[in-house]
Amino acid sequence: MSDGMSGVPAFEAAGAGLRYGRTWVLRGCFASVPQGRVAALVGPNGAGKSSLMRLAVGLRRADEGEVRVFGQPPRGANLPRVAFVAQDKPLYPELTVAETIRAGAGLNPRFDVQGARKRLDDLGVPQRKRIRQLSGGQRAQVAITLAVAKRADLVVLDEPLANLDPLARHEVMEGLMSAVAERGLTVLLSSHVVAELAEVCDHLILVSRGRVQVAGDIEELVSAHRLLVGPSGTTPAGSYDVIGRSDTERQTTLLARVRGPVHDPRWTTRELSLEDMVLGYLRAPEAVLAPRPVAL
Amino acid sequence: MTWLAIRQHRVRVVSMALLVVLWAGFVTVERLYPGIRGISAGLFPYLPLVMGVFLGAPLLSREYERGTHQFAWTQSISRSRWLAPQLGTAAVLALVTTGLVTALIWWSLRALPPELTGALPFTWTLFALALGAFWSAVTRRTTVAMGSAFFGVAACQLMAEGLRNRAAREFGWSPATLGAVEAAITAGLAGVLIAGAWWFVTRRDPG
Amino acid sequence: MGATLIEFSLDKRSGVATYMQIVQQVEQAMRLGRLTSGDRLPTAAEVVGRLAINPNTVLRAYRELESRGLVEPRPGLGTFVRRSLARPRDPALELRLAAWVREARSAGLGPDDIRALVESALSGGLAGEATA
Repeated sequence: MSDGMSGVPAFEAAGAGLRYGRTWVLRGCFASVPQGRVAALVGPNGAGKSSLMRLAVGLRRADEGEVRVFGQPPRGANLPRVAFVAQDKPLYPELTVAETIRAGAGLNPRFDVQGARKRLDDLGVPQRKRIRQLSGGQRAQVAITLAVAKRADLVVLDEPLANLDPLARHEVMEGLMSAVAERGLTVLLSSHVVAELAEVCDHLILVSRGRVQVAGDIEELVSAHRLLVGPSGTTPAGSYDVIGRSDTERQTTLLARVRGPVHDPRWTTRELSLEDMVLGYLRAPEAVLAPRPVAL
Repeated sequence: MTWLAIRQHRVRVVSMALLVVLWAGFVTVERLYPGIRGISAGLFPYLPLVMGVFLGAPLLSREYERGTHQFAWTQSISRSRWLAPQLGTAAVLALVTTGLVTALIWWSLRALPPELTGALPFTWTLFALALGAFWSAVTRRTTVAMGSAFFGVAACQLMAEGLRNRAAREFGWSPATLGAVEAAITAGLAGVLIAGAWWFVTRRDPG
Repeated sequence: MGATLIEFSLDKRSGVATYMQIVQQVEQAMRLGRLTSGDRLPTAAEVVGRLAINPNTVLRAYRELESRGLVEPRPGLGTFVRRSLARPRDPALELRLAAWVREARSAGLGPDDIRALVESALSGGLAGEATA
């Protein structure tokens, strides 16, 4: 892992906000991703995921607060450390794959031409074809290969799996995870489908309504939450925060963040999946669990 | 990144070469039939329009429309260092084309009309290109930028015509002085427009 | 480095954490003798190149196996199996089991019935236990 154990987060938003004209699309976002992690940026469509990514890669500047990549703003001398694959995998359609690699080499001093060629050979992407002749999956592979070959330390991917068939999804993820294993990259990838990220990501940033609602290590988050089911009209004893509740005539179901054991014989405690936890928070927009990072 | 800029201009290089070949053919006909001499020189004012519409207007809007600015601007180089070769390639292509067409007209007429002497054809070409690139950066839509560049250049040419006549009448300037002043003004405007396009690319955030 | 000795497969609906599935599959391979002392486990890159999972998950599984004393990392070389879990085979025992399974089938028991019987025998809940 490249300086993987150093304490500076790969990505950090400190009260970051962004507006288009007078409309704020992000406000007061706090999140941080340690180096070497694969972080999922999830949330409903239009919640602000793409905007947060644009801030992370320097396509936009924050209108309030700050966004830092390895401790520095994503500009100037810091640009080589961040790679970005935008949602529609924009590449020049009239260029061949080989020409696209050449362009990448010309635009990036650290570009790994041999690595990029070998990776596309292994994936069976013909390099003499033009970008416009490729399938969606092949085009995604070329875009991701270019981002990896840039030898950036943080790779940001906006909906990398959207519009791909299941096999292409699997291949794209395999390629990406191999690069993580080989290079010790930090990855920030967005999706509106939580289920497809559960196997891949170990860090979560949940964006909803233009702010970061939940951020942290996925395992810690999931293990801190429980589903409590018991008779209606009662509350279980113990130390916990209720995130959401639903009541029927006979029983009450609580989504709770537990701080200690919940002992109540009438109540049963169940573990949650990542997806259930995310859904619980999305149904309870006022519940925020994004600890503000300690100032450096 | 000069290679990418040149590669992106390949189709436009071919189009300009075609234009020069057509012009050469027309001039050859003019030399064979001296009765129609001067028509190609009369077509010259349309050349800056072509430069503004086909070289300047697509320069940035094509990137915005296809989303490729997100690719180009997240590589390791600054937007200024990306923009310079793009503008440079378009400018060289436009100037070479203008130079060749001017030479062809001279070959046909054995002399050049006042509006085609000295730096004037080149500064007009640069001005038209810069106007196209400016609208391209502002509107981000190729068709809108093309329209704006076309009417913008045409209007400026009409205005220049009027100003030229007036200056000759009121100040009694010689054609040489007029030409020099006009070249300086068009070159200056081209510089301002390029600076404007650069400001929109580097300072304004992409949508 | 040698060929890959085992491949992992995941059951995404099992509810068992991914790293734990890898731990269990290594243990099982060791019990069945498919992995023995000195064998190299696939690298994280090899595993994620097939399964499209987070490499940190693989590393975590290997750490768990290490803490159980089953494998050891050798820096720069990979993760290696430390000991063998396979028991010496007992042909007589296997023959008697095969004969019993045939008998159970001819008595009309299905695979699930047989499994339930074996489970129950393992937990000491069969009729004959008390008198045996």
